[in-house]
Parts: sequence; C-alpha cells; structure tokens
Amino acid sequence: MRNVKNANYVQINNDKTIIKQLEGIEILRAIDAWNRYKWTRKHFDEKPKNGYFIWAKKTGIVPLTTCAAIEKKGVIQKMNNLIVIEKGVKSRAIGNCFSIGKRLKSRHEGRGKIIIKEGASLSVEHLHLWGENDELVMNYEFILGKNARLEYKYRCLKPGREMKIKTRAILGENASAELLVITKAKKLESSEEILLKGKNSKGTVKIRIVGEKDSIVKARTLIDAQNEGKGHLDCQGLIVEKNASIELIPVLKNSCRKAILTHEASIGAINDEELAYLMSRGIAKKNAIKLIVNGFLKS
Amino acid sequence: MLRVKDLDVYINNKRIVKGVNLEIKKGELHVLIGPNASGKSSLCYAIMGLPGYKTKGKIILNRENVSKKSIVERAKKGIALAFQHPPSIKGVKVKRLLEEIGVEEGLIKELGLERLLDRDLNKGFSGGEKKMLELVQVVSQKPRIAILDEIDSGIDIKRLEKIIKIVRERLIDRGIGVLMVTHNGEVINKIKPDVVHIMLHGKIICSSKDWRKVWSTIRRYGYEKCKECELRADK
Repeated sequence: MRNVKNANYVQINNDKTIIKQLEGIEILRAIDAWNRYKWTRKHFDEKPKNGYFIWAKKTGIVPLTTCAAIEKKGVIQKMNNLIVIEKGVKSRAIGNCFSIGKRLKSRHEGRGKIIIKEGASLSVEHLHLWGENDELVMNYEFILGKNARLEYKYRCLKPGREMKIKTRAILGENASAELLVITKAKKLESSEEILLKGKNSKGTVKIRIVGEKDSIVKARTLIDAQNEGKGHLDCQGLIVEKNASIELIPVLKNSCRKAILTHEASIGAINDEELAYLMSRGIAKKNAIKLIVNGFLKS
Repeated sequence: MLRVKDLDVYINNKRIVKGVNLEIKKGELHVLIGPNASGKSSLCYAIMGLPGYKTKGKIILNRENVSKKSIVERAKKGIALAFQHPPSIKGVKVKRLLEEIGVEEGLIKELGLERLLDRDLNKGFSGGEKKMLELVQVVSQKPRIAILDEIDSGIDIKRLEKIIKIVRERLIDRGIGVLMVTHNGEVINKIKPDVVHIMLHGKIICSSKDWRKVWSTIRRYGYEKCKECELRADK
C-alpha cells in the first residue's frame, strides 16, 4: 500500500495511532479534537473513540495521507472522522483503508463529516483493499460552502464479503462536486447522493461497479436539485462472472424548474467480440478479461 | 506453412464458405478478392478460430491440424489476423495492449502513431488509424501466417504505400506467409502477389499466379465473368 510509511495519520486496529503533522494542517485524534475544540462536537454524532480530526488551515503542497489498517482477526475497527478545510484553502488527501491478511473476518466502520468552507477545494483519493471475509460499512458526508470544490474518488479493487457504502454531498451556492465510485463487488449496497442546495451548484456522480462471481449489488445514486443548478449521473455496471447480479437505481429529483438533471446508466456483460479480439492477439482469456475489466474501471 | 483443406464455414448453421482449399507457403503473398458477401472475411475469421464460425475440414499450420484449437492457441502457434472492423475497447489504452503483445521496435514511429498510444483502443480513431494499428499488432505478434482483412480499405494513398512497404519488409521478406483480402486493384498492382484467389458465393473459383490477367478480366467484365473463365479452379 503506497504512502503508508509516510502517512500523516495511521490507525492500526483500534489501539495504535501514529500522527505526523503537516505544515498548515492540524491533525489530532478525533477524541482529542472533541476535548480541545468544543465547536467540533456539533459535527460528531457521538463522542468519538477512534478516528481523526484534520483541520486544513493553509494550502499545502504535499497531499495529506491517512491510513487505517486492520491486522487482527475479528477486529471491528471504528473510525469517526472530521475534516475541516478552511476558507480558500486547497487540499489534497489520500485515504488508505485495508486489512493485512486474507481471512481476518474483520469489520471496518468508517464514518465522517467533511466540511469544505467558502472558496476552498478538496481532492480525495480513497483506496480500499479488503480480505475476502471482511466487512465494510462506510458513511461520509461532505458539506460544501459557497464556491467550494470537491473531487472524491473511491476505489476498491479487493472487495470484502459485504460492503455498505454511503456518500453524500450537500452543495452551497456555486459549489461543485464530483463523486466517483469504482469498485469490484461481492455483496454491495451503495448510495451516492448529491444535493444541489445552493444556486448554480453543479454535481456529477459516476459509478463503475464490477460484479464478480455470485455478487449481489444494489447501487442507488441520487441528484436532488433544490435550487438552480446542474447534475448528472453516470452509472455503469459490468457483470464478469456467472450468477452475478447488479441493480443500478439512478434517481433524479428536481424541485426547481431551472435545474437541469441528466443521467445515463447501463449494465452489461463482457463483450464477446472484444474478448475474442484480445485473445486473437495471443492474450489468454483470463488476462483478456482482466484488461477489459480494468479498462472499464478506468473509463 | 498454412494449408486449408476442404473447409466449410458455418454461421448459425448456414454454410457460408464451401469446400475451400488453399496453400500458402513461407514468404508467399496471396491475395483474396471477390465481391461483397462472398465469404472472404468468414474464411479469415474461421482460420483465426473466432467464435461463431464453425468449421468442417482442416486448417493445417506447419503440418499440425489447428482446426480444433482455441483462438489463443492458434495465435500462439503463429496465426495473426488484422481485423476489417476492429472493436473499440473502452478504457484499454493502446500502449497497454501493445505492452501485452510486445510491440516491434520502431514500428509506431515509422507509422506516425505515437499520438494514439494514450488513447482508448480504436475509440474515435479514423479508418486509417485503425488499419495501421491492426498492422502494428499483426507484425508485433511475429506470426508465421498473417491474415490481413481489407487492411487497405479507407486508406489514403500515402498511408497505403506505407502499409505495402511494411507488409513487404516486415512480413513477406521475413518469410511470413500473407493472405490479404482486398477490393483494390491498385493494391494488387503495387504489391504484386504470388497468387491471387477469387472467391464467389463461398467458393474459391479461381487461383492464379497471373494476377495481371485475372485483375484485368475482373476490371473489364466483373466477377460474373470468372464463372466462365478457363482458369476456374473447379473446372
């Protein structure tokens, strides 16, 4: 896993935390933020036990890196995170969450709130790698102020046994957000939502889901326009193996006659013509499928 | 090197190619011509082993019958096909595919295709770009037999000359047997094949070394005249 050694926040299971400060950014354990800054309390659902607090006060050059690792069998890792990006600050973050070991039967519960204040921007790469018996529950909410920007990419190429993902972005005036979810799946329930609350806000949700053997996927995407703005949903599923099922539910909700919402959605299997073409180049079927799947996830 | 013996090709149980016999030796260039829907492409795809093309008869490559082998096995044993209509594959970059095949050095530069390397395979490519890339892949596969299905169609004259040069220098001169499907007499004149075959209604009705005579007859009288010609293979 890249960037782990130099990560600014590392949490192993629930008991070990390592913090490396970064210029212009304050990084604390969530519980320490709760105790030190009373204003943070309204942003937590409850008093946090684990997780981080990141407060970006200045634009940094180096991306901030967090890392949540599980290395013990049966661990339920809980993260309760809060990120605040101050006005006009431009930030980049890389979040790595993974288990070390294939059959740990662990569970990662990550939830958090990310506040991007007026004129600020945040670009996040969120990478997950799980063992085949792991479970994941993830729930993140982004709140964007006036003129704020968000680019959020979630990528999970080694899915756990069961995953529940929820991402929600609430956009202020002239704010824009792009949510991108790329994942292979076994049992997956996902929900990605953008709320166009402020005038002239713009949001795009793009999902690429690969259904592997016996997978059951239910992915709901929503753009809810409560004000003048633009929104687009781009949802695609690829069924790679037998007995996989993918259900995509793109929802457009418009309560403002000046808002423009569009969507595109498709679910398909691997195209036989493409597969035969690659195989005619001497590429083994397994590798040809891998090329097509990786291409789909990058498209 | 490649021998096709009494080959029938069926698509959805319909016999499209009927009893074709063909022999291409090392370094020989054979041109296959015929009107649209005469079965030329079906023959090519069947030799490559593409799904949907059922065969009866033998496809022998270097004394080995490969007619029951998979596409991958045939490719590994030395059959390479330049597709007439190659598919575009979303997200698969040209560079990535060429890495997988092992691209022949200098070829991309020679054909001026550097700009395509970071693009999705065949997505938004012009007809000419697609054909050039097909040729790059076929040459890079280092085959024993190269099947070029209308590699020249939709190509401007400058590119056509480049293609002919590469077919000559990087395939034929290296001892690779070539079966080239074309509709273009200009190509036949330029490439000077060893043998020209005419396919009509699923059958090869003429195979001749005298490509000049064959082509001038077709140009003058059309393919229907071939039925009466003394060169007919089944006479």
